[in-house]
Amino acid sequence: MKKLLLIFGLLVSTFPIFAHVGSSGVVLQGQAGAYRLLVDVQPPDVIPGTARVTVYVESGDASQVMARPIYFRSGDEGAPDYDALESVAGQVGQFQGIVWLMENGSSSVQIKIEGAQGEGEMVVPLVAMSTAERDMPAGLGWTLTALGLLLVILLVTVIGASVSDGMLRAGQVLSPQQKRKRWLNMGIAFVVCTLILYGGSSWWDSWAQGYRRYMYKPLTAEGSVVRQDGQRLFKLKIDTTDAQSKRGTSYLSYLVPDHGKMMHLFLVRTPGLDAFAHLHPERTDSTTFQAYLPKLPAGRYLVYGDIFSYSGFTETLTDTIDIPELVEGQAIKRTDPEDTYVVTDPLNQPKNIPLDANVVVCGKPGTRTALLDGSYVVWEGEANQVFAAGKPYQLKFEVFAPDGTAARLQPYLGMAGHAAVVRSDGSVYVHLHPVGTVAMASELSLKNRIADTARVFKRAAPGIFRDSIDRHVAALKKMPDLERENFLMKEMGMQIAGDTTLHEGMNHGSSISFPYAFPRAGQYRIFLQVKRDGQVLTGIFDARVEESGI
Amino acid sequence: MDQTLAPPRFPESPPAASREVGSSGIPVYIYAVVFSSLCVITGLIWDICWHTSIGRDGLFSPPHLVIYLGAVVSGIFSGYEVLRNTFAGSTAEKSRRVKVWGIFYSSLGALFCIWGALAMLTSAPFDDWWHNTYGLDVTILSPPHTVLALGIIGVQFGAIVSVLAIKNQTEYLFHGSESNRKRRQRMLFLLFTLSAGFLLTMWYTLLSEELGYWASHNSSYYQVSAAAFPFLLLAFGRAYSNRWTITYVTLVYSLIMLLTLWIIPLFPAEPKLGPILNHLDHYNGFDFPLLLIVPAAALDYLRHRFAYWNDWKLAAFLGTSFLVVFFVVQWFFGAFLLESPLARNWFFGSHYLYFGNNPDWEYRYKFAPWFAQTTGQLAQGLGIALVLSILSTRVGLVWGRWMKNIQR
Repeated sequence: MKKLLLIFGLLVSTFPIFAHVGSSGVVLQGQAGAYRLLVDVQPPDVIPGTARVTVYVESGDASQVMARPIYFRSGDEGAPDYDALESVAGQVGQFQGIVWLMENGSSSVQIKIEGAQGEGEMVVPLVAMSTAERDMPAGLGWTLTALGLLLVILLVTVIGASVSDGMLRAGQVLSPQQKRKRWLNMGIAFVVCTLILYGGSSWWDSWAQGYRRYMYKPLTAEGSVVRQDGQRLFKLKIDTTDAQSKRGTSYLSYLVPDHGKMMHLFLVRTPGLDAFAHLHPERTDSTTFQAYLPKLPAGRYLVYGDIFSYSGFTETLTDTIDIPELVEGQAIKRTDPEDTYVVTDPLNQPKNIPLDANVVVCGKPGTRTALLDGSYVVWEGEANQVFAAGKPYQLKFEVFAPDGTAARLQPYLGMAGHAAVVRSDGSVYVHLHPVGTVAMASELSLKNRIADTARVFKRAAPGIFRDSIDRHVAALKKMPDLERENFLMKEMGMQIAGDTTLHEGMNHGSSISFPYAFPRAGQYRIFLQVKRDGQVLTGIFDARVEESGI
Repeated sequence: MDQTLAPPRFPESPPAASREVGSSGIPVYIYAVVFSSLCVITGLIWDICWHTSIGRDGLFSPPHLVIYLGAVVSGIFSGYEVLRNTFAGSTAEKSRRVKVWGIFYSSLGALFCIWGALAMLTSAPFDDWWHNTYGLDVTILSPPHTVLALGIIGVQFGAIVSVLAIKNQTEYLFHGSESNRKRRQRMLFLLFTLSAGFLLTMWYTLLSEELGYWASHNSSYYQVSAAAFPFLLLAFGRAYSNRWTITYVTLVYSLIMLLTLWIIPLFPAEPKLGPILNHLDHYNGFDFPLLLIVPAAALDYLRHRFAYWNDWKLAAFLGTSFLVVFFVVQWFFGAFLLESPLARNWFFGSHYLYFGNNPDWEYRYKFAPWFAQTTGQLAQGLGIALVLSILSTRVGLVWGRWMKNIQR
């Protein structure tokens, strides 16, 4: 029985890989009516389950904050009523509560706020997937085993009594024959109980198997570098084996661009995290993406490719590849004009600065860090600052022109800036925006879905959808820079003038901040990307994170 | 079995119980366990309606409390019975009990009730862990729910056994007046039909996912019914000699189903979980009962008409009769519930729909193609159902004979 109860293996400690690698939590900063909010959602690791929602009201006087789940499939019309979030004792403007998530897939939490400045609403997209497989705690296992044994013994006893003295009138006693009959029936009852327990155990096994079948399984992809016309061409091929049990066979036909690109690919050289590229591969067919590599030094690279589904489901394809040496003397082609790369000093070897045209020295909180064009960035904070794991921070950067005046930043891919955060061993990766960890494509999908009153989402035929997206992306690529940036910002609902914004942190001044909670302790490297005078600049910073409470 | 009995050890004592607990001589304990049986089944039906209408619940949701009330009443009264008989019972009382593990004196019914309450208790931490591990399930049958269901069945069966033991003791232990004896018999019959009807309702509830009217033109529906119902109905029929026992038991089942179907939807409810495809402002009802009362009446009539047949012959005849009558009734009535606009009202309740289901689904009110069978397939399936029905009837006759002889 004990064995049956403890039939499952050890807790699988793989980290969820959807949307990002290693951090399942979602942080989003935004404007809900007159209020500025920072929302932190920790989705459950078992679906159906409850997500923990924490809302920090950064500006405004809120009297009540409420939340409800909205699923992509059923939209606004299919969402239940709001539940109030409780005000956190001793923390002004902080509210906490739970939201029930019943279905796997793309979902969102809608926040509603009421207070002195009227009402406001905000949507936080998130992906709900079962990722955990739990073991039964030993104490519970033994308790249930004891109760189970007692039930079996009692049942066998009752059945024995039922066929023997239970049939006797008051005062009569059992004959030897009846006693034998009792033992025989108790034996049969015991065998039947054992068979029932065995059947129950098999049923449990098949239930667990069914659960595992619908647990989140990352899409796998194989990266490779081929030489073509003297260029190094990177290819990422998505494996469609067992596609049905993962996302469905037509999933890859419903990909949409994020910031106008079908894929945001980040290459980081390991182990030093001393070379970095942010590329935008083109889709050559529904499973293959490719891009020319820039002048990255040879070595082993971690591959993170972000893709975005129309449903708002986002995930990161991962692999590790070896990039060969560049053949000198060839002009390097670029797949996308906004592809960038940079090299820096390796982790823990600050003096070991490589020779390259694109060298940037790695910075730390509270220090000046020079960028390629002579401008520099200050990461606001104290020198030697240590961050606590799991706690949301505003990672705030101030960019200065070479003359020390505040730099005027331009939108880059429709945003004030981007940041990729990578843990030293590559086990954590996240693509951040000034609004948080949420992909803009997901936010856009969910906003559009909520505006749509259809009870059940109906999608176009996969081939037609894929072609329309390919045409859209090709048209974007042909647009002049300014027109494209304006188009992308407008698509995300941002005012181009920059004076009123939906999301705080997008006002393209000289300062840029990213809300983020480092998921666990370790050494992290942050690759910050901004655009100034038409040039994309990358700043690199190291952060040390320790378990909170230590 | 009677012929193998050893001589009585005690002289048959006057009916202490009859003097102690009123003229009909039925202990309060019996009323308590029948009440428990009612609590667990109505609580369960309410809980199902809660899940199809509101969705979200906690450990102490109102329907759960009703179920727990049943478990607690049953467990406490039965536990007290056992302890009182063991440590404070007279010799005469002990002589009417079974001895357990060499220490305890208990009635059989109390043992079943205690087993049921213990199983229900066991299911609670198991179910809680299950939800944390595999998610909050929304099905009736999962392993921990099955432990709970077995516990409920234990409690309900304990109530039936308790009533039967008292009834079977009447013959030689009740020495009251003739009018009191008749009153006692009437009350015991009522308690028996109630407790048996509650168990039948529980049994239907467990199988309800297989017995939806949308499947009533598929042989699987008749196979499940043929396996599940005759053995219970015939066991009840044989356990308590009365011309119309089975009919009364199915009447109780029908009334529980109808009353819950008509009363629960009077109360407001709104879905608290998404996705909500079917918006509600009042509870969904559970199910309109199967018209088991019709084959039940046929079984009652036939088993008396052919009471002198041996059990194998009787089982073949009654099993066939059950299936034929049940098939004819449910084939047409199932179609009526599914297809007829006249069934979409409070009386028949076929418009009730789980909040997560799409109300515009094309097969909401018609038979879906995946349930369709050719005449050959249907005939073959019904052939299997016939075998199941006869075997189920045969088991029911054996079981009923045992129940008829319960003495303690």
